[in-house]
Amino acid sequence: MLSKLNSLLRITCVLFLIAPTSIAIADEVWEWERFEDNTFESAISISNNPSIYCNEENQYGTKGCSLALNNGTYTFTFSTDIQVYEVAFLVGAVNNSYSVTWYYADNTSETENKSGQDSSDFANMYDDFYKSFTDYNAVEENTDKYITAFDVVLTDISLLDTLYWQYDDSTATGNFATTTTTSSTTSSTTTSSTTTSSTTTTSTTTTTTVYVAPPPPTTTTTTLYVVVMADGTESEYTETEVNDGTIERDQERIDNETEFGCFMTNAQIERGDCIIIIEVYEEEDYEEEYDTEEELFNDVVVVDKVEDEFIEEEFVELTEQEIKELEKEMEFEVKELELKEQIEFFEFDSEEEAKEFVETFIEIEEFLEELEEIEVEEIVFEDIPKDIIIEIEDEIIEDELVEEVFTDESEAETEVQEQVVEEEVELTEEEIKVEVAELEEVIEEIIVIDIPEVTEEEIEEYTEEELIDYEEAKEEAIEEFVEELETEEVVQILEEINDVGVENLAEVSQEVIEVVAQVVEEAITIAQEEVLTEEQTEVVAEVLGFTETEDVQIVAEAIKTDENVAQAVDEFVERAVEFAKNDSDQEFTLADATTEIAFESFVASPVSVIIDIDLDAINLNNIANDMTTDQKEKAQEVIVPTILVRIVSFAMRRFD
Amino acid sequence: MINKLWSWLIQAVKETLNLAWTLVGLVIATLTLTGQAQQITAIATVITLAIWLLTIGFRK
Repeated sequence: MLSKLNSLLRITCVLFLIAPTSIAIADEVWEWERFEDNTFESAISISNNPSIYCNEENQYGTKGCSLALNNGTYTFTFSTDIQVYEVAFLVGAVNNSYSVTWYYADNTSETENKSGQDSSDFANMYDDFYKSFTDYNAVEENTDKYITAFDVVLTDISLLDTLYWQYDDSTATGNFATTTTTSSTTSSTTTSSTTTSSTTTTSTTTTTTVYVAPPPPTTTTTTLYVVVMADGTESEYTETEVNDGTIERDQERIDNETEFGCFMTNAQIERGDCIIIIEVYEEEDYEEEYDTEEELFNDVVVVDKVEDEFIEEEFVELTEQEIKELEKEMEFEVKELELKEQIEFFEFDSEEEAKEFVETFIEIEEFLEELEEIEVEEIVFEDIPKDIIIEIEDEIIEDELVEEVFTDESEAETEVQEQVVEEEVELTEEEIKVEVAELEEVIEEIIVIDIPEVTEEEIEEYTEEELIDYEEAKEEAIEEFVEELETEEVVQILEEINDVGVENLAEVSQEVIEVVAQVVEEAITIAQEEVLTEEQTEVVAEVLGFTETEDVQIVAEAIKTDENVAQAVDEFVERAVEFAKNDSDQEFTLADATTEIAFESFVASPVSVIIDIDLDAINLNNIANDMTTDQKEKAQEVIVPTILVRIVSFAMRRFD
Repeated sequence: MINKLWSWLIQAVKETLNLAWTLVGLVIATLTLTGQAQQITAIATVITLAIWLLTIGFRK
């Protein structure tokens, strides 16, 4: 009897092995994007072409390689075939304030604003982002909510990693409509030698059932494979990973670690993530130097072991200059790899000479590229104006490194050249009229004021009270409309204002001035709430007369605490127009408006300057950090002479 | 006592007048500054002036 039962069990086992049965259905699917290479998971697409960054693995909370984000908006969009209800990721190495906006299937969105991260502790210099509707959707009364995309808006180079999302398998369509769960074990053995390689794959089966559990899994699909790598280690892979080439990439990593000392894929090596120094010596010199028994040829590729030490070193935050240097270094390495075969034909006495050859090659290539970009334009003068005004446009090319290579002893000298080209644009009366018309047109297109139209005759008939009511209603309508403008629309109007010049706004109607004033105020409010792009910040800075774009953010913060600055932003345009009417050649900036308002407040109430001081808010460590560069310069112009006058007066007394 | 106080008041007015140009400069500086810098300059000006006037006798 026992023997029969045993036989029956064995037959059952064999039947299971012949026809694997669908045992469990996974409803909840976790999918991870580890940013190991430039191929992202098919469920997500990322805008702005971010690159994979592997030079600072395991820094800023990242695991392995991560996604490098630079200045701009990066949109991560999920496939429409899946309904994502949970997403998490981290963003690290962010120095400036930034934001993340979540977009949902019901066309709503939500923005999380974050300030710059603390750079004193690189290990913890990251923010976790987690959005989940798992519990929310579980409540029957709630309408299910799903995440369709999210934006990451940054202004400095940063890293994004450990991204995962969760969706319901049963509602997925297209390629994501996976419902069955089977399990099998595949054994793959790869052997390799210096000349040939062979791959043998055998397949066995097990009866183990793998359930996809809710806690963070390490795989994305339901089928599990155990692969024996060439070095004898065993790794587990899912079906998706088997299909998307993860096994091949892992094998490449192992091979490259053995060959170059870098645990990277071939694509990463080709991209230049691994520092490889090609050392080309004459055979005799090489043998003398390295004293090796192996026969090495002139084109032997030797991996510089410094790479490993570099990775293990304590992380130091990179400045823009350092990043540029690193990029240059990477470019050099890529070119070095490209030139590897060509270099074989040359013999170099030293490593420096080989390096110099590659550098010169890159310089010549860059020069030829620039030469191709130069276009010759034919200028036709149809109408030459009587007054020719020299145009001013500040274009300062700073820290341009020009390397001079000397032929005598291969000496290289680096010098910094600063090229300053000054051009100024002064508009003629006709040009001002054209620009003003453009500004009015743009404002008319964008701004629609919801107040009844009143003719000039009707306004003249108004009593004083009616006139005040009308002005207030108009101001309120403009304010309400401008507040609802999109950032792009605000910037578009500001660009037109810059084209005209604030000093030329006297030419436009009072209504347009009021709209412009409101738009300028709105721009600062936007700068408070969200991160403006570099271009947008430049536009705002130009309107307010700032030379430094950082001043925009300083003013945005200052208006929260300083009433004078807030009032100055509010009245800047009107005051600038009044100032321009006095035919002054000087430029009127926000600092001038602030000083004017401070003086008016002082005259109105001299004691308030002392009484209104909030001693708790004073921080001696950053006294002048809340002042714009323009304001600092203005203050300097006053304070320095005051101190000098005092010193002179003391000196005069002594002589007396 | 009243005479002493009166005498000090006269001296204080004289000293303040001597400092008129400096004070004008500092007031303008205060008005040109913004934020914390403005507040600190204002406080420092007032406190220093007070100390200056209270120590007339000591300085002489």
